[in-house]
Amino acid sequence: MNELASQKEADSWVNENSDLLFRFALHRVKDEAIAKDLVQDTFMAAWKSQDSFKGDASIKNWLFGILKNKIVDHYRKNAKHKTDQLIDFDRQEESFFNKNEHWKKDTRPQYWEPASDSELEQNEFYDVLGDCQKRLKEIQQAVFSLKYLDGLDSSEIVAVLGITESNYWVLMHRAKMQLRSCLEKNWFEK
Amino acid sequence: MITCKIAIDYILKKEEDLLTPKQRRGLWFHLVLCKFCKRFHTQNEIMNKAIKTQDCSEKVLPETDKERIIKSMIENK
Repeated sequence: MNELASQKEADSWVNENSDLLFRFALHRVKDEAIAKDLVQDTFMAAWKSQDSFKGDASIKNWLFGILKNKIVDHYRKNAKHKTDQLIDFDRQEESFFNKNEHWKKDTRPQYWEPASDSELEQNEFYDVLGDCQKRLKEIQQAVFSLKYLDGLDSSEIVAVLGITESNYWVLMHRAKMQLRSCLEKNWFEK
Repeated sequence: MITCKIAIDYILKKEEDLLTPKQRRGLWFHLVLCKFCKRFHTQNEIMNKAIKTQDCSEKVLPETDKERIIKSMIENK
């Protein structure tokens, strides 16, 4: 391929697919810099191995397949040492429950007003939700993303991330408690 | 009766249908009596739905990043 054709092809790949890939990655990793790196890595991997592209899928589907693998690699790379942080889980739990394992008075779930249908308000809610999710640990975000966006169940997620089942439930439990508490403080009590 | 901490675990495991009949009954009974865990149950469903439907549809990759990617691709051809 001559240089001009090569430039044209690279332009076309990036201009037609990069926004979609970026949104897909950002939705999952919640960090623009990481999402950008993952998208760049995806294009580079695809570009270097385009001879192996069989053409039985569209370029877009092929790129998405590569990106999904890159995201899982990113989660996996971070999962192992991040579960070390779970040691302090029991201590953190004390902030929600009393010694009898019932809600403390100041952490009891409050009544949440039903959501408004207004698009503006919904967008504001999603902004708050996004901010609350960003406060979760990366491994918790990974668990959420694999479960709720990719539809994996707990047994599949522990296999993907290389964590134990008990770690998975600790992560999920903690993430839900934190997210609930953050939404209540920053949205429902506003 | 199960504790609130255990009830929360059961609520999360129920999403994947992982509870035994005894655990399901224990959770049901707890939720009848504990309005806070019942609220958590409802709030958990709201959060799950919001996480799934939340979108980043207005986000685009900045032009400078697109140009950088294209440049790297050409250089690595």
